[in-house]
Amino acid sequence: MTAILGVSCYFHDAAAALVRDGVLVAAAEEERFSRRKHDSGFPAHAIDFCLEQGGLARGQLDWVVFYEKPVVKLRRIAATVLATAPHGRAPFVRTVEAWAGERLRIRRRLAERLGIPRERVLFVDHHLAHAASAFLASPFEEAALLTVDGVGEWTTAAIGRGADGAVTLDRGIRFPHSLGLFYSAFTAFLGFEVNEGEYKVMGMAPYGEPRLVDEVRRTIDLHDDGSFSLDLDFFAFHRSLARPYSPRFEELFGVPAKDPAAPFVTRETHPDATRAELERSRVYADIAASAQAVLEDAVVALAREAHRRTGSDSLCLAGGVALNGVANRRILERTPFVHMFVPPAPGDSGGAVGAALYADHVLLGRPRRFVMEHAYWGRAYARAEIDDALQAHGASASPESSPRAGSSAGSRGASSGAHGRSGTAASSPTRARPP
Amino acid sequence: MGRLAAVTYYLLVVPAAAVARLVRDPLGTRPAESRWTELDAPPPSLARARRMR
Repeated sequence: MTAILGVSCYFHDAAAALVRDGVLVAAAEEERFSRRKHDSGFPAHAIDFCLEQGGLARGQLDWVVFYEKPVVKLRRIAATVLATAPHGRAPFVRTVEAWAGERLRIRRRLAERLGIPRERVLFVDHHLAHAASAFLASPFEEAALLTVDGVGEWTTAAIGRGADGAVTLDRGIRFPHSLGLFYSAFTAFLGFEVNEGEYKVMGMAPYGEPRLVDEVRRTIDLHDDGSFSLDLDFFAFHRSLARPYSPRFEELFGVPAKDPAAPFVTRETHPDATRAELERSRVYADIAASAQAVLEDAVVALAREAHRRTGSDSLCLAGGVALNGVANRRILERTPFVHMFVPPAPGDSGGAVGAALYADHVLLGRPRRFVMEHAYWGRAYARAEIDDALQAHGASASPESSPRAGSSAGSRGASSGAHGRSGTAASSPTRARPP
Repeated sequence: MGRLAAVTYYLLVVPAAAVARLVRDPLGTRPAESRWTELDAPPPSLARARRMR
């Protein structure tokens, strides 16, 4: 038996995943146990859960795999500090405080916590972990790979190919040119929390019209070969902790950043809203629609390049930007890809799954034995536990009579079935146009 | 720790940054027609993976 634990943490959505003999046994985000949304800390509870689920005690793991290379990431941060001085004091101070702690000692921390020798702790490139989380969980024997996120070590997007025995990324786009950070700037400008409210921008977009695409395109240049460049005059994510966009970005749209406390109103949701309130919300919705349209164009261009270079008709997609389901749909509509697989946790939490699968299949050379067909790898809750929790909070629930009752429940967990099992996921795995 | 880091920033980092920027573009922000870069090959073996982090 070979037991491999994948771990992701210290940025957002810390998680752990256990792969045993090539098959995923458990995967969970720390937030499900700590009750802190997007918990980035060391995933002690998630690790304990995975070991328990696998029937393993301390010292019984063969390998532990971390989802990125901290030293390489620190080099990128150092280069950013050099590039932005003297305007980057706050990020520098925060970096020193964070990295002087346990981040650079993650190998020791994992080895001591899990009772294994330090040389049994491996590190995998961040985007390789993303790519592996998609391809090695997919039903495809070969596929084009596309990863798109905020930033890993240096890479923000990459394309490559997966085939038996190999997960390879051969071309990438480097920080600070990042679609994830581009979209996060709009997330913040529209009054939402970065790394949390991006789905709200995607959801706000259909309320508006993409009439500000030209303005948005001033912040990003989409090149003919599928790559892109951000105009850093419009962004501040590389030198500011306060906000990811610059004063020039604010001038683009003729309105100030949306007050996070101000409601977003439509005639349907707020019949009593004034014309001025409706107009203001409409402008923000137009900005969201325009940013979403440009993001979709950029993602489609990346996917086309991945297809051009691989010739595959199957695509595996991962990275935080793959949480944008609307953009994913555009790939199927506007590229030659016929099949597409997006894992249920394409962001950093899924990196724990990818790191473990990558070590099993690529580093250890073991055959693939796993296809992810559902998203429920987290803790299961007995009906009695669910009833107790409801009772403790003065709530009640009645059994559902739907024919679907009894199937696995999501993280909110209460169905009339015997249990509800939480997932790591934003969605179920996506397999469009199955072969 | 925070105060020491701030002092370090102004005494060491800012002067070093000025020199570094004269020599090269640390973040690759100059205009370009393409942003693709060739990625390092992934660790080809377990042995290499054990050395890298």
